[in-house]
Amino acid sequence: MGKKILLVDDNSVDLLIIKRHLSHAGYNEIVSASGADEGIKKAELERPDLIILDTLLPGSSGFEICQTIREKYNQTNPKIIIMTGSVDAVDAVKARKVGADDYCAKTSDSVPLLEAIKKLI
Amino acid sequence: MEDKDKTKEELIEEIKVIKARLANLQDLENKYKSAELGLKKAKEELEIEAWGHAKTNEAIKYLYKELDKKNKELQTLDKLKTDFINIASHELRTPLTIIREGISQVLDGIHGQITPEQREFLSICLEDVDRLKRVVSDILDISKIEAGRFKLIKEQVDIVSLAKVVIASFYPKVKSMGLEMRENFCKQAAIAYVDKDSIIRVFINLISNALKFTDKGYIEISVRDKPTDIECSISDTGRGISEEDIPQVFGKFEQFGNTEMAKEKGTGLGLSIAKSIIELHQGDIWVKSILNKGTKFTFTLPKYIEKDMPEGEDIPGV
Repeated sequence: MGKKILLVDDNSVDLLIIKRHLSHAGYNEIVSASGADEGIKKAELERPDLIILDTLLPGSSGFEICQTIREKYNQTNPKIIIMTGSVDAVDAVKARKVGADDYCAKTSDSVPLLEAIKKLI
Repeated sequence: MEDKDKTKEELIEEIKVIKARLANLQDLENKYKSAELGLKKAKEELEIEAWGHAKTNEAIKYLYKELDKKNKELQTLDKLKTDFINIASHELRTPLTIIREGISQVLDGIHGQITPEQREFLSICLEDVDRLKRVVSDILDISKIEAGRFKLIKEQVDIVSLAKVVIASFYPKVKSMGLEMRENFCKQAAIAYVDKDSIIRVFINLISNALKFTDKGYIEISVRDKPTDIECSISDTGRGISEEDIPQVFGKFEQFGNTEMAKEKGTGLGLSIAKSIIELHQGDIWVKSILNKGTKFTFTLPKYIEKDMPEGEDIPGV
Protein backbone atom coordinates (compact mmCIF):
# COMPACT_ATOMS: atom_id res chain seq x y z
CA MET A 1 0.00 0.00 0.00
CA GLY A 2 3.03 2.22 0.51
CA LYS A 3 1.37 4.42 3.08
CA LYS A 4 3.26 5.34 6.21
CA ILE A 5 1.40 5.15 9.51
CA LEU A 6 2.41 6.65 12.87
CA LEU A 7 0.97 4.95 15.97
CA VAL A 8 0.97 6.79 19.29
CA ASP A 9 0.09 4.60 22.30
CA ASP A 10 1.78 4.21 25.68
CA ASN A 11 0.73 0.57 26.16
CA SER A 12 3.43 -1.62 24.60
CA VAL A 13 1.15 -4.66 24.38
CA ASP A 14 -1.52 -2.69 22.52
CA LEU A 15 1.16 -1.31 20.16
CA LEU A 16 2.34 -4.83 19.33
CA ILE A 17 -1.15 -6.10 18.69
CA ILE A 18 -2.17 -3.18 16.51
CA LYS A 19 1.10 -3.31 14.54
CA ARG A 20 0.49 -6.98 13.84
CA HIS A 21 -3.06 -6.35 12.62
CA LEU A 22 -1.91 -3.43 10.47
CA SER A 23 0.82 -5.42 8.75
CA HIS A 24 -1.59 -8.31 8.16
CA ALA A 25 -3.84 -5.81 6.42
CA GLY A 26 -0.95 -4.79 4.20
CA TYR A 27 0.30 -1.64 5.92
CA ASN A 28 3.98 -2.31 6.36
CA GLU A 29 5.44 1.10 6.99
CA ILE A 30 4.62 1.62 10.64
CA VAL A 31 6.39 3.85 13.15
CA SER A 32 5.38 4.23 16.75
CA ALA A 33 5.67 6.56 19.71
CA SER A 34 4.77 6.00 23.34
CA GLY A 35 4.25 9.57 24.47
CA ALA A 36 2.98 12.97 23.38
CA ASP A 37 6.34 14.66 22.81
CA GLU A 38 7.77 11.66 20.98
CA GLY A 39 4.59 11.50 18.92
CA ILE A 40 4.73 15.11 17.79
CA LYS A 41 8.45 14.85 17.02
CA LYS A 42 7.96 11.74 14.93
CA ALA A 43 5.02 13.32 13.13
CA GLU A 44 7.43 16.03 12.01
CA LEU A 45 10.34 13.69 11.22
CA GLU A 46 8.60 10.79 9.58
CA ARG A 47 5.89 12.67 7.65
CA PRO A 48 3.35 9.86 7.90
CA ASP A 49 0.24 9.67 5.74
CA LEU A 50 -1.87 8.71 8.73
CA ILE A 51 -1.51 9.19 12.47
CA ILE A 52 -3.37 7.00 14.95
CA LEU A 53 -3.65 8.49 18.45
CA ASP A 54 -4.73 6.78 21.64
CA THR A 55 -6.98 9.02 23.78
CA LEU A 56 -5.21 8.38 27.08
CA LEU A 57 -1.50 9.12 27.22
CA PRO A 58 0.74 9.92 30.18
CA GLY A 59 0.39 13.59 31.00
CA SER A 60 -1.48 14.35 27.80
CA SER A 61 -4.18 13.08 25.47
CA GLY A 62 -4.74 12.15 21.87
CA PHE A 63 -6.92 15.23 21.57
CA GLU A 64 -4.08 17.54 22.59
CA ILE A 65 -1.64 15.96 20.15
CA CYS A 66 -4.17 16.18 17.35
CA GLN A 67 -4.76 19.85 18.03
CA THR A 68 -1.02 20.57 18.13
CA ILE A 69 -0.38 18.77 14.86
CA ARG A 70 -3.27 20.52 13.11
CA GLU A 71 -2.08 23.90 14.35
CA LYS A 72 1.55 23.30 13.42
CA TYR A 73 1.11 21.79 10.02
CA ASN A 74 -1.84 21.19 7.87
CA GLN A 75 -5.52 21.08 8.45
CA THR A 76 -6.05 18.14 6.11
CA ASN A 77 -2.83 16.16 5.99
CA PRO A 78 -1.79 13.86 7.56
CA LYS A 79 -5.04 12.08 8.26
CA ILE A 80 -5.65 11.56 11.96
CA ILE A 81 -7.65 8.89 13.75
CA ILE A 82 -8.29 9.11 17.48
CA MET A 83 -8.78 5.75 19.15
CA THR A 84 -10.30 4.99 22.55
CA GLY A 85 -9.86 1.88 24.68
CA SER A 86 -11.90 3.09 27.58
CA VAL A 87 -15.63 3.66 27.86
CA ASP A 88 -14.91 6.62 30.16
CA ALA A 89 -13.04 8.60 27.55
CA VAL A 90 -15.50 8.37 24.68
CA ASP A 91 -15.85 11.83 23.15
CA ALA A 92 -16.21 11.84 19.39
CA VAL A 93 -17.48 15.41 19.19
CA LYS A 94 -14.28 16.64 20.79
CA ALA A 95 -12.30 14.57 18.29
CA ARG A 96 -13.98 16.30 15.35
CA LYS A 97 -13.51 19.69 16.97
CA VAL A 98 -9.75 19.25 17.35
CA GLY A 99 -9.49 18.27 13.73
CA ALA A 100 -9.44 14.48 13.74
CA ASP A 101 -10.73 12.77 10.64
CA ASP A 102 -12.22 9.82 12.44
CA TYR A 103 -12.80 8.30 15.85
CA CYS A 104 -13.06 4.65 16.77
CA ALA A 105 -12.85 2.10 19.56
CA LYS A 106 -9.67 0.19 20.33
CA THR A 107 -10.54 -3.50 20.21
CA SER A 108 -8.51 -6.70 20.44
CA ASP A 109 -9.17 -7.46 16.77
CA SER A 110 -8.64 -3.87 15.53
CA VAL A 111 -11.69 -4.23 13.27
CA PRO A 112 -13.11 -0.70 13.75
CA LEU A 113 -9.62 0.76 13.34
CA LEU A 114 -8.96 -1.03 10.07
CA GLU A 115 -12.34 0.06 8.72
CA ALA A 116 -11.58 3.67 9.59
CA ILE A 117 -8.14 3.47 7.95
CA LYS A 118 -9.58 2.05 4.75
CA LYS A 119 -11.84 5.04 4.40
CA LEU A 120 -9.03 7.55 4.82
CA ILE A 121 -5.92 6.30 3.00
CA MET B 1 -55.31 67.61 -11.79
CA GLU B 2 -52.99 64.85 -13.14
CA ASP B 3 -49.89 63.29 -11.64
CA LYS B 4 -47.79 64.78 -14.38
CA ASP B 5 -48.22 68.01 -12.73
CA LYS B 6 -46.76 66.90 -9.50
CA THR B 7 -44.63 69.50 -8.04
CA LYS B 8 -40.88 69.20 -7.74
CA GLU B 9 -41.23 68.94 -3.98
CA GLU B 10 -43.58 66.00 -4.21
CA LEU B 11 -41.16 64.15 -6.47
CA ILE B 12 -38.26 64.77 -4.13
CA GLU B 13 -40.42 63.39 -1.33
CA GLU B 14 -41.23 60.28 -3.30
CA ILE B 15 -37.54 59.69 -4.08
CA LYS B 16 -36.79 60.01 -0.38
CA VAL B 17 -39.38 57.37 0.44
CA ILE B 18 -38.06 55.03 -2.25
CA LYS B 19 -34.50 55.50 -0.98
CA ALA B 20 -35.66 54.74 2.54
CA ARG B 21 -37.43 51.62 1.32
CA LEU B 22 -34.28 50.58 -0.55
CA ALA B 23 -32.25 51.06 2.63
CA ASN B 24 -34.79 48.92 4.49
CA LEU B 25 -34.57 46.22 1.88
CA GLN B 26 -30.76 46.40 2.05
CA ASP B 27 -30.98 46.10 5.78
CA LEU B 28 -33.31 43.14 5.52
CA GLU B 29 -31.00 41.51 2.98
CA ASN B 30 -28.05 41.90 5.35
CA LYS B 31 -30.06 40.50 8.21
CA TYR B 32 -31.14 37.63 6.04
CA LYS B 33 -27.56 36.98 4.96
CA SER B 34 -26.27 36.91 8.52
CA ALA B 35 -29.18 34.70 9.59
CA GLU B 36 -28.34 32.41 6.74
CA LEU B 37 -24.72 32.34 7.92
CA GLY B 38 -25.87 31.62 11.45
CA LEU B 39 -28.08 28.81 10.24
CA LYS B 40 -25.22 27.42 8.22
CA LYS B 41 -22.98 27.47 11.28
CA ALA B 42 -25.70 25.90 13.45
CA LYS B 43 -26.22 23.25 10.79
CA GLU B 44 -22.50 22.51 10.75
CA GLU B 45 -22.45 22.30 14.54
CA LEU B 46 -25.42 19.95 14.52
CA GLU B 47 -23.75 17.81 11.88
CA ILE B 48 -20.63 17.55 14.02
CA GLU B 49 -22.76 16.64 17.02
CA ALA B 50 -24.70 14.06 15.02
CA TRP B 51 -21.48 12.60 13.66
CA GLY B 52 -20.02 12.68 17.17
CA HIS B 53 -22.97 10.89 18.70
CA ALA B 54 -23.06 8.27 15.99
CA LYS B 55 -19.34 7.62 16.43
CA THR B 56 -19.68 7.60 20.21
CA ASN B 57 -22.46 5.04 20.07
CA GLU B 58 -20.48 2.90 17.68
CA ALA B 59 -17.38 3.08 19.87
CA ILE B 60 -19.36 2.22 23.00
CA LYS B 61 -20.95 -0.75 21.26
CA TYR B 62 -17.54 -2.07 20.25
CA LEU B 63 -16.07 -1.48 23.70
CA TYR B 64 -18.89 -3.34 25.42
CA LYS B 65 -18.37 -6.22 23.02
CA GLU B 66 -14.70 -6.20 24.05
CA LEU B 67 -15.64 -6.22 27.74
CA ASP B 68 -17.94 -9.15 27.15
CA LYS B 69 -15.22 -11.00 25.27
CA LYS B 70 -12.64 -10.37 28.01
CA ASN B 71 -15.16 -11.47 30.63
CA LYS B 72 -15.70 -14.77 28.88
CA GLU B 73 -11.94 -15.27 28.56
CA LEU B 74 -11.53 -14.62 32.28
CA GLN B 75 -14.21 -17.16 33.09
CA THR B 76 -12.55 -19.76 30.90
CA LEU B 77 -9.17 -19.09 32.52
CA ASP B 78 -10.73 -19.28 35.95
CA LYS B 79 -12.30 -22.64 35.21
CA LEU B 80 -9.01 -23.86 33.77
CA LYS B 81 -7.27 -22.83 36.95
CA THR B 82 -9.76 -24.64 39.14
CA ASP B 83 -9.66 -27.76 36.95
CA PHE B 84 -5.87 -27.74 36.92
CA ILE B 85 -5.65 -27.43 40.69
CA ASN B 86 -8.11 -30.26 41.19
CA ILE B 87 -6.33 -32.62 38.83
CA ALA B 88 -2.88 -31.69 40.17
CA SER B 89 -4.02 -32.14 43.76
CA HIS B 90 -5.40 -35.59 43.10
CA GLU B 91 -2.31 -36.59 41.17
CA LEU B 92 -0.18 -35.44 44.10
CA ARG B 93 -2.23 -37.08 46.81
CA THR B 94 -2.15 -40.60 45.43
CA PRO B 95 1.64 -41.04 45.41
CA LEU B 96 1.85 -39.36 48.81
CA THR B 97 -0.59 -41.85 50.29
CA ILE B 98 1.43 -44.72 48.85
CA ILE B 99 4.70 -43.28 50.16
CA ARG B 100 3.19 -42.74 53.59
CA GLU B 101 1.83 -46.23 53.72
CA GLY B 102 5.22 -47.68 52.81
CA ILE B 103 7.09 -45.67 55.44
CA SER B 104 4.43 -46.40 58.07
CA GLN B 105 4.65 -50.12 57.51
CA VAL B 106 8.44 -50.17 57.80
CA LEU B 107 8.24 -48.05 60.96
CA ASP B 108 5.68 -50.42 62.44
CA GLY B 109 8.17 -53.23 62.02
CA ILE B 110 5.96 -55.13 59.57
CA HIS B 111 8.90 -55.67 57.25
CA GLY B 112 11.37 -56.58 59.93
CA GLN B 113 13.08 -54.86 62.81
CA ILE B 114 14.63 -51.50 62.21
CA THR B 115 17.52 -49.80 63.94
CA PRO B 116 17.01 -46.65 66.01
CA GLU B 117 18.91 -44.74 63.37
CA GLN B 118 16.64 -46.03 60.64
CA ARG B 119 13.64 -45.18 62.81
CA GLU B 120 14.88 -41.63 63.23
CA PHE B 121 15.30 -41.03 59.51
CA LEU B 122 12.04 -42.68 58.60
CA SER B 123 10.19 -40.60 61.18
CA ILE B 124 11.53 -37.44 59.61
CA CYS B 125 10.37 -38.68 56.22
CA LEU B 126 6.92 -39.42 57.61
CA GLU B 127 6.61 -35.95 59.09
CA ASP B 128 7.42 -34.35 55.78
CA VAL B 129 5.10 -36.57 53.82
CA ASP B 130 2.36 -35.55 56.22
CA ARG B 131 3.29 -31.95 55.80
CA LEU B 132 3.13 -32.25 52.03
CA LYS B 133 -0.28 -33.89 52.32
CA ARG B 134 -1.46 -30.94 54.38
CA VAL B 135 -0.19 -28.48 51.80
CA VAL B 136 -1.96 -30.28 48.99
CA SER B 137 -5.12 -30.53 51.07
CA ASP B 138 -5.01 -26.84 51.89
CA ILE B 139 -4.47 -25.84 48.27
CA LEU B 140 -7.36 -28.02 47.19
CA ASP B 141 -9.61 -26.48 49.84
CA ILE B 142 -8.64 -22.94 48.93
CA SER B 143 -9.38 -23.61 45.30
CA LYS B 144 -12.76 -25.09 46.21
CA ILE B 145 -13.59 -22.13 48.40
CA GLU B 146 -12.59 -19.69 45.68
CA ALA B 147 -14.60 -21.52 43.06
CA GLY B 148 -17.58 -21.40 45.39
CA ARG B 149 -17.68 -25.19 45.43
CA PHE B 150 -17.00 -25.71 49.13
CA LYS B 151 -20.20 -27.40 50.26
CA LEU B 152 -21.34 -27.11 53.85
CA ILE B 153 -23.46 -29.81 55.45
CA LYS B 154 -24.97 -28.01 58.39
CA GLU B 155 -26.34 -29.72 61.46
CA GLN B 156 -26.69 -29.25 65.19
CA VAL B 157 -23.26 -29.48 66.73
CA ASP B 158 -22.20 -29.05 70.34
CA ILE B 159 -19.12 -26.89 69.95
CA VAL B 160 -17.88 -27.71 73.45
CA SER B 161 -17.73 -31.43 72.64
CA LEU B 162 -16.18 -30.69 69.27
CA ALA B 163 -13.49 -28.50 70.84
CA LYS B 164 -12.75 -31.18 73.45
CA VAL B 165 -12.15 -33.77 70.73
CA VAL B 166 -9.71 -31.52 68.89
CA ILE B 167 -7.91 -30.58 72.13
CA ALA B 168 -7.51 -34.26 73.01
CA SER B 169 -5.80 -34.90 69.71
CA PHE B 170 -3.29 -32.13 70.44
CA TYR B 171 -2.47 -33.23 73.99
CA PRO B 172 0.58 -35.35 73.16
CA LYS B 173 2.13 -32.61 71.13
CA VAL B 174 1.40 -29.86 73.66
CA LYS B 175 2.87 -31.99 76.43
CA SER B 176 6.00 -32.74 74.45
CA MET B 177 6.48 -29.01 73.93
CA GLY B 178 6.25 -28.42 77.67
CA LEU B 179 3.19 -26.23 77.30
CA GLU B 180 -0.09 -26.14 79.15
CA MET B 181 -3.47 -26.57 77.46
CA ARG B 182 -6.29 -24.70 79.19
CA GLU B 183 -10.00 -25.08 78.65
CA ASN B 184 -12.57 -22.42 79.35
CA PHE B 185 -15.97 -23.76 78.40
CA CYS B 186 -19.47 -22.64 79.25
CA LYS B 187 -21.34 -24.92 81.67
CA GLN B 188 -23.96 -26.29 79.30
CA ALA B 189 -23.68 -27.38 75.70
CA ALA B 190 -23.16 -24.70 73.06
CA ILE B 191 -25.26 -25.79 70.12
CA ALA B 192 -24.38 -24.23 66.79
CA TYR B 193 -25.71 -24.85 63.29
CA VAL B 194 -22.56 -25.69 61.37
CA ASP B 195 -20.69 -28.05 59.10
CA LYS B 196 -18.91 -30.24 61.66
CA ASP B 197 -15.81 -31.17 59.67
CA SER B 198 -15.00 -27.63 58.63
CA ILE B 199 -15.33 -26.27 62.17
CA ILE B 200 -13.01 -29.04 63.38
CA ARG B 201 -10.70 -27.77 60.67
CA VAL B 202 -10.91 -24.21 62.02
CA PHE B 203 -9.99 -25.36 65.53
CA ILE B 204 -7.13 -27.47 64.20
CA ASN B 205 -5.75 -24.62 62.12
CA LEU B 206 -5.94 -22.08 64.93
CA ILE B 207 -4.47 -24.38 67.56
CA SER B 208 -1.67 -25.49 65.20
CA ASN B 209 -0.95 -21.85 64.51
CA ALA B 210 -0.79 -21.05 68.21
CA LEU B 211 1.57 -23.97 68.85
CA LYS B 212 3.85 -22.86 66.04
CA PHE B 213 4.60 -19.56 67.68
CA THR B 214 4.52 -20.39 71.39
CA ASP B 215 7.64 -21.49 73.27
CA LYS B 216 6.38 -21.30 76.82
CA GLY B 217 3.23 -20.81 78.82
CA TYR B 218 -0.11 -22.03 77.62
CA ILE B 219 -2.71 -22.28 74.89
CA GLU B 220 -6.26 -21.57 76.02
CA ILE B 221 -9.38 -22.61 74.17
CA SER B 222 -12.66 -21.07 75.20
CA VAL B 223 -16.26 -21.58 74.06
CA ARG B 224 -18.98 -19.25 75.26
CA ASP B 225 -22.70 -19.33 74.67
CA LYS B 226 -23.66 -15.77 73.78
CA PRO B 227 -27.21 -14.48 73.20
CA THR B 228 -26.93 -14.35 69.42
CA ASP B 229 -24.04 -16.70 68.67
CA ILE B 230 -21.43 -19.09 69.98
CA GLU B 231 -18.12 -17.34 70.57
CA CYS B 232 -14.88 -19.31 70.52
CA SER B 233 -11.33 -18.19 71.06
CA ILE B 234 -7.86 -19.60 70.98
CA SER B 235 -5.30 -17.61 72.94
CA ASP B 236 -1.63 -18.21 73.44
CA THR B 237 1.33 -16.76 75.31
CA GLY B 238 3.46 -16.86 72.22
CA ARG B 239 5.54 -14.34 70.40
CA GLY B 240 2.64 -12.29 69.13
CA ILE B 241 2.01 -10.37 65.92
CA SER B 242 3.15 -6.79 65.29
CA GLU B 243 0.54 -4.12 64.62
CA GLU B 244 1.66 -3.66 61.02
CA ASP B 245 1.37 -7.39 60.31
CA ILE B 246 -2.13 -7.77 61.75
CA PRO B 247 -4.00 -6.74 58.56
CA GLN B 248 -2.16 -9.45 56.59
CA VAL B 249 -2.70 -12.24 59.11
CA PHE B 250 -5.48 -13.94 57.17
CA GLY B 251 -3.78 -13.51 53.80
CA LYS B 252 -2.77 -16.48 51.70
CA PHE B 253 0.75 -17.83 52.03
CA GLU B 254 1.59 -15.17 54.62
CA GLN B 255 4.13 -16.30 57.18
CA PHE B 256 5.43 -13.73 59.61
CA GLY B 257 8.42 -13.62 61.76
CA ASN B 258 11.20 -16.13 61.75
CA THR B 259 9.58 -19.22 60.34
CA GLU B 260 12.93 -21.01 60.20
CA MET B 261 12.68 -21.27 63.98
CA ALA B 262 9.07 -22.44 63.96
CA LYS B 263 8.71 -25.95 65.22
CA GLU B 264 6.60 -27.13 62.39
CA LYS B 265 6.50 -25.43 59.03
CA GLY B 266 3.00 -24.55 57.96
CA THR B 267 1.45 -24.07 54.58
CA GLY B 268 0.67 -20.38 55.02
CA LEU B 269 -2.93 -21.17 54.11
CA GLY B 270 -4.31 -22.34 57.45
CA LEU B 271 -5.60 -18.99 58.67
CA SER B 272 -6.96 -18.05 55.26
CA ILE B 273 -8.93 -21.28 55.13
CA ALA B 274 -10.17 -20.79 58.70
CA LYS B 275 -11.39 -17.30 57.81
CA SER B 276 -13.14 -18.51 54.65
CA ILE B 277 -14.91 -21.29 56.55
CA ILE B 278 -16.12 -18.91 59.27
CA GLU B 279 -17.34 -16.44 56.68
CA LEU B 280 -19.16 -19.17 54.79
CA HIS B 281 -21.02 -19.79 58.04
CA GLN B 282 -21.89 -16.09 58.22
CA GLY B 283 -19.68 -15.76 61.29
CA ASP B 284 -16.90 -13.34 62.17
CA ILE B 285 -13.25 -13.92 62.93
CA TRP B 286 -10.67 -11.50 64.27
CA VAL B 287 -7.35 -11.37 66.07
CA LYS B 288 -5.82 -9.37 68.88
CA SER B 289 -2.16 -9.55 69.71
CA ILE B 290 0.66 -7.97 71.67
CA LEU B 291 4.22 -8.61 70.56
CA ASN B 292 6.06 -10.99 72.88
CA LYS B 293 3.00 -11.29 75.09
CA GLY B 294 0.53 -13.39 73.15
CA THR B 295 -2.21 -13.65 70.58
CA LYS B 296 -5.94 -14.29 70.72
CA PHE B 297 -8.02 -15.43 67.77
CA THR B 298 -11.79 -15.17 68.22
CA PHE B 299 -14.59 -16.37 65.96
CA THR B 300 -18.36 -16.60 66.12
CA LEU B 301 -20.71 -19.30 64.90
CA PRO B 302 -24.46 -19.15 64.29
CA LYS B 303 -26.54 -20.72 67.03
CA TYR B 304 -28.92 -23.55 66.34
CA ILE B 305 -32.43 -22.21 66.51
CA GLU B 306 -35.45 -24.55 66.63
CA LYS B 307 -36.68 -23.35 63.29
CA ASP B 308 -33.40 -24.00 61.42
CA MET B 309 -34.11 -26.30 58.51
CA PRO B 310 -31.71 -28.53 56.63
CA GLU B 311 -30.45 -26.65 53.58
CA GLY B 312 -33.02 -26.22 50.89
CA GLU B 313 -35.99 -27.72 52.68
CA ASP B 314 -39.02 -25.86 53.87
CA ILE B 315 -41.30 -27.97 56.07
CA PRO B 316 -44.52 -26.07 56.73
CA GLY B 317 -46.12 -25.97 60.12
CA VAL B 318 -42.96 -26.85 62.03
